[in-house]
Amino acid sequence: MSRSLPSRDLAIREAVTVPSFDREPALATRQSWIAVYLPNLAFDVFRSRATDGPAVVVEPMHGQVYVVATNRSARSCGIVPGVKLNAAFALAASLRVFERSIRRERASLESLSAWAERLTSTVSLSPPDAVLLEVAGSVRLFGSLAAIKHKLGEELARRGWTRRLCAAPTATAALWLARGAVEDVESLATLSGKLGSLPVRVTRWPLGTQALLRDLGVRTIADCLRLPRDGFARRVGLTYLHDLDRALARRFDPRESFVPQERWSTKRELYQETSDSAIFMAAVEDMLAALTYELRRRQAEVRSVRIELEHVRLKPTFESFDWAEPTHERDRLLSLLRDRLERIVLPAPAIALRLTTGFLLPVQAKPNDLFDKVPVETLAHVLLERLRGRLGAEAVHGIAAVAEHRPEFAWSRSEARSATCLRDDDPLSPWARQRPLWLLPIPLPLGSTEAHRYYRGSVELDSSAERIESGWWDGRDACRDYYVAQSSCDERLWIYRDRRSFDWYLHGLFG
Amino acid sequence: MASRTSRADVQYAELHCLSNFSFLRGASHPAELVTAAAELGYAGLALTDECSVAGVVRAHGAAKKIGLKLVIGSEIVLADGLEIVVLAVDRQSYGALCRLISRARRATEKGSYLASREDVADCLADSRCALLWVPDEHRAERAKLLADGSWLAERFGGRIWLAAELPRGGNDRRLFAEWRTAGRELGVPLVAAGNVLMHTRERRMLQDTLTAIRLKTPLDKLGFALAPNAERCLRPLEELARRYPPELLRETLAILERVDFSLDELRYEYPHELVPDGETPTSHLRKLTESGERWRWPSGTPSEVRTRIEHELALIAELRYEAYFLTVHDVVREARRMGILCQGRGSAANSVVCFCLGITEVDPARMQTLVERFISKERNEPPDIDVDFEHERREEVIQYIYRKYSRERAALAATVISYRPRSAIRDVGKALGFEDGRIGAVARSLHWWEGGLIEQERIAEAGFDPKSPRVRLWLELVETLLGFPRHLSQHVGGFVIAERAIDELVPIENASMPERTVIQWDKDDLEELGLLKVDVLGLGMLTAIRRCFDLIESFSGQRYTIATVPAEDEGVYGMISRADTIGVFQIESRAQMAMLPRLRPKEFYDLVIEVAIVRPGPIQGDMVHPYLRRRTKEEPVTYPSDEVRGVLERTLGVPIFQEQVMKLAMVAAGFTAGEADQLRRAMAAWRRNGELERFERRLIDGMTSRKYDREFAERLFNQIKGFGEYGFPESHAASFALLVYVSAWLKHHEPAAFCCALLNSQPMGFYAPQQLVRSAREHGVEVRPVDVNRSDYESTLERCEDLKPALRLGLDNVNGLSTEGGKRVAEARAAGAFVTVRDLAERAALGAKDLGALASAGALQGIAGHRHRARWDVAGVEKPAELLASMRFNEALPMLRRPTESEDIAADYRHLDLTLGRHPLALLRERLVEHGILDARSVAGAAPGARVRAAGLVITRQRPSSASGVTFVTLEDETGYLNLVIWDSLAQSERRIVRAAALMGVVGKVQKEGDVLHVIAERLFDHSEWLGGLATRSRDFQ
Repeated sequence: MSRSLPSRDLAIREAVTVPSFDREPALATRQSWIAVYLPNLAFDVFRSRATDGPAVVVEPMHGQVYVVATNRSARSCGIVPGVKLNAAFALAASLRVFERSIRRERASLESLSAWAERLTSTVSLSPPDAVLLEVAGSVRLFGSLAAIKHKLGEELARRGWTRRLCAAPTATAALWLARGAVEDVESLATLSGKLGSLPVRVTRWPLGTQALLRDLGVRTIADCLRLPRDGFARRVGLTYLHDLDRALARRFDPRESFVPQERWSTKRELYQETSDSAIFMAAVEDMLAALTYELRRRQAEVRSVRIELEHVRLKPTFESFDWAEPTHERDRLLSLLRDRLERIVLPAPAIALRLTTGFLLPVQAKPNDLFDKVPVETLAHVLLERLRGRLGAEAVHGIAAVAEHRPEFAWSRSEARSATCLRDDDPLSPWARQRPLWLLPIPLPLGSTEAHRYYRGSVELDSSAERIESGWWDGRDACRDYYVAQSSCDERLWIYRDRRSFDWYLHGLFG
Repeated sequence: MASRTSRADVQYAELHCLSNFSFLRGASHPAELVTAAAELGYAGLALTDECSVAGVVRAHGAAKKIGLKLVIGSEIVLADGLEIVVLAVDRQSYGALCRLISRARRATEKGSYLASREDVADCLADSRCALLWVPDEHRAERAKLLADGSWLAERFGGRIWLAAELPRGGNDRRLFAEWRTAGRELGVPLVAAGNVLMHTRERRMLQDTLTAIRLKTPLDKLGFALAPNAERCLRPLEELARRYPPELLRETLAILERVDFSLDELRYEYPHELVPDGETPTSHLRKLTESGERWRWPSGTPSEVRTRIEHELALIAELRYEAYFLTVHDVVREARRMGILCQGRGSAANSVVCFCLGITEVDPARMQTLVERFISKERNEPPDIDVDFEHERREEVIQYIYRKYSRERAALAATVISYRPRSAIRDVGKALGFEDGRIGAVARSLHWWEGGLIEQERIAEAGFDPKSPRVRLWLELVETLLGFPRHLSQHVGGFVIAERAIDELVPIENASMPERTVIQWDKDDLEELGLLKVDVLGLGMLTAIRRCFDLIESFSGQRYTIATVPAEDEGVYGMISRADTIGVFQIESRAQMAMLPRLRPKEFYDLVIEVAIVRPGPIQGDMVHPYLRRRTKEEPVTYPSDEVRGVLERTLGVPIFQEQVMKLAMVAAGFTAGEADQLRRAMAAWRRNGELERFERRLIDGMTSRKYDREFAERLFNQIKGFGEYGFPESHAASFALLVYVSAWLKHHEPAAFCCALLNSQPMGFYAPQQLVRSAREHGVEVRPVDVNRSDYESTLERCEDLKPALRLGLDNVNGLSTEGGKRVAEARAAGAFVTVRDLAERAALGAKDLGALASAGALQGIAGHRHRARWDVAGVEKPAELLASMRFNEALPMLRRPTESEDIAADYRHLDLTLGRHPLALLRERLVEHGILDARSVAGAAPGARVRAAGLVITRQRPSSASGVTFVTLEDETGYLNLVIWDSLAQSERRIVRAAALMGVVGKVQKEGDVLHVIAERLFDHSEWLGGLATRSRDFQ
């Protein structure tokens, strides 16, 4: 109920018998943690996009935009994390600004963790800017802690990230030491001494908590440890007492292990070069059997698959396959692959095939129709997959109406994911008016005299003018008067007169 | 093809036309529309802004000049989508229109409106106004068309027209046919109209941009929200003749002929309740003035004053301004009754009549030189009285006015907020889809005093190519947008009070403050129409002075008023001449302080000059140095003629006040009074519209033809230009000078009460509490710390052993302490001193946050020991409702270190914003000495031209508009203050230090002018890290 109170038993027992931290017994631990602290990760994820000039990463907070990370050049202008963007601009007008991307940071931590699995099996993310490795078991393998740190350091340098590495018997301590830029602590005996010298801010406790400690004259971890446990718990909070205990190995410090997203891959050798699609398909079917077995075993699905055909003397040929929705069904997988592979034209015969999936996705439960009727949507998906399989993914697209006065920009290609039809209920939309469905890709100039226009004979205007003047902002300003017109060979035309050049053009045909 | 028609055959009046007062819709100024309509040969123009008449006064002014018939109307879209345009045909229907707009505007939040069919029927049924019905071109369902039409025809038959607005959307023919049929069936005639949003097609880009700004969406994402074409402009008559049947055009003339109303008919009628039965305004004003005379001069009015009173009363009666004086008198009398200090200023405020009526306290006898500063008959300029009230109690005065005259008869004037360079750059940049951060960089690099010019360099610096077409487009649009009105805001305090309902004079709408209403016209509009307003303003110094009077009275029994503070005290002028003026009204600023030792004020009128001379106007007009040289007799005082001597004698031949400039134009260049008044307005607005140039030739020619030499004429014009909008009228300066004198007198004679009153009136003025307290201590005041067992909520006076007052800091100085919590502490202590923290927490019912704030501020010293101990104790107090409240924990005693001196000082700054301990720099002095850094006192002793090294806490930074890029920084150490001058180039290269350093070091040259010392900075250093955790704050001004 009350967060600041420990259970009464504990409080009283400690108040009476264990007034100070130093007498709390340590858990026996044989763990050894390395904290990889990436102090400038928020910026480092944009490193590839930043140039030499001052650049910052910003984050909006309470209606203001604050700088959260900077590069060296920005720092030399005096821009430090915590200043408002306004102030930063005052210091460097030609500032490049990136909006903070938690997603990129997370992805970076994950990619580092995935890499670090070659050093140890216990890797844990500590977002937003650290990764923790438990390396007690690996030390033997790599010879020493220093060797592991060296490998990590090389990798981080390759990635170009600012980093600080610290080792300690507990994860929390390693992290705090890394933040405080203090060297490794190898034994429990020296842990509390080393930790003690750190300022309170390495804990990253809430600012209010840190301000309270400052007002109590508490500056370092050692000052915290000098306070009576019960008093500390009551005033500062039990959570923070536990943090201290975890750092000092007086309390278990469980960390969730990182589990990377997986792909699955298999390969078939053909043993001799061949261009025979029947042989490819046999290999593919074999691989798909293995894949579907694997998917069933893992309760997983895939949305994409890549087939790589290796040649003896050339670079491999890649073919990618996407499904409209994730699947684990052999037939569905096979039909798409077969459609394309049977008609594939290779630059040279192939010697081996490799199948690699996209990320394995957990199976989503789908409602099954009692009578096994396939829903229309699925049929449409299957049709789309077929068309794409035959014509190539590029050749199939949807069409969407775009709110835009200029006719040539009033529609766009859309992704053909599912069957949608063109609809537009906006009464302001020209689609609601008289418009031809067939637009010429480039308007066709018409012959004209003062009073007449010609397109396969003379053309008569059949409506009042629709004047369109729009688009000046992107440099393609249109100033035209459109008319519906009737040609002498009975075609309904959509023509316009350019208001600047006074030339006439045919822009569309009515069906 | 349509038949060719010559312009002479066609007659047309545009009856549906919106200006940029339909905010972010209309793309032309009212005057542009009027001018264009006249140039196109229109017979008339209706200005019909959406549910507003905010732009009509400007259109009226322009139309009158050109001689175009102007109709006043408004477009209103009802909640159910029905759109009408209401046109006023006579005074009565104008009133009905205003009432309808008021009702719709007041029915919903600021900036929007809501009108129903009932509202329209209620307000317009009994009026004769003409209505245009604007059917929706997009939803032309026949049934709805007929339903709408018959509803309107039933109620407004004979004065309703269907506005045929052909937008060239491709179906004009079909629409027209439908409307014609509907019109025949309903018996509603059709009339041609344009639904105009711009005076020329060329505003199309701006109109699209305004749409983007209004919908907060970039242009390329707007789609059909943009107009498809630029048809909604004023079209040439030939084109109209081609597009409309002649009878539809003729119908516009028929409507125009019905209109017989101009804004000139509006007359202001004063509230009747100001004059008792049996009296006339004239006799009543005379009565009040005479009783005031007996109060001001109990032993008899001096004869020359008597003569002036008669003169003034005669003038007032002649111009029929009695009711205006009575109105102001009534407000002031009520404020006085409520014990609210007030002081009038303005051209009419310093009349003897106003002195008798108690509107001002400036004794005319004290101001021998200040004559003829009164309403001017020739100028026909309405009298101008602004009344300042205590800022914390102004609301009471406003509520009194509403109570007395009711909300229907009293309302605040509006202020039209217009586009300035920064806002225009931002909004247009966003519309064009530029990146926010980049736009901001350009906008911020603009300083408003650069006159709105955008330098290419700034654009390039922010990463744009100034030559790219999109950037050029941006800048062009910005230029057109400048000066466009953006919204109406409330004027700071200009009240219009009328005899009858105001909403028949001008519509009233909601302001952003709840329970506030504003009219749709601003002060220039009111002035243009000759309507009077009373300015009810707030002034912090009045609050402080009233508090100070109260404190002195309760401490010593002596009651002062502004009028009874002893005049012309030599000691006070001595203090002022030493620039010992921290906390004194007006003359405490850095620039004022630098002027004081040079000007050395000796009498009241010197203060009037002091107040007016340190202003951007006189500084930019280069009037300061000539005046000083003449004052110190370094330069002879000469006048080019006797007329000029008459105008400039009291300021030694240098024009310092706005009135002098106007008078000079009259006597030396032959301006009429009316022209001089136009000159005054042009001066105020020349940065915006450059109108002042028109007067240049006129002024210089006028003067040379009167035998003044050309150089004098040109110098005068440049001075006028420099004056710009910052010229300060003498009549205002005189009222301010009185408050300067009173506050300086209080600081000199009652420093404890003065400091206490200032602290209790924070935030106000130029300096932070730290400097106010320091100055009081330098004046010998004992200042005592915040203590829960001694302090009240506000700061108070305590009696010292020697019976002098000591200042006890109040709990309100404690950062983070809630107002209610602080007040409860003071109340609970009445029952006895607090013994422990728990006792305090329980009796004052304080929460953890309040207790923490008190402990951190050192206010628990008496009951809990040093800060760290107090904080520990306080953090351990549970909320009273807690389960274990009664249980005392058997806690182990913590090991808490006693705060060091520097920790205490740092905590003082953090939690109180001031310290009574040593100055932080005193602690660092040893280190400073090691670095060869002098203290402020030693710098003051250095020889002029010496190069010194100094350092101090930055207490103010200032970049005044008049100083062309110079930054002024004031540093403080334990021995005093040091004024730095930082030239622009250094400020640019050391931007970070200038803007952010808390402890600034400087190497620079000492510059002395008399007693005024500056250090011209050559190099700057940031020593902030020497302060450790000390957070000091600077007050920054631009």
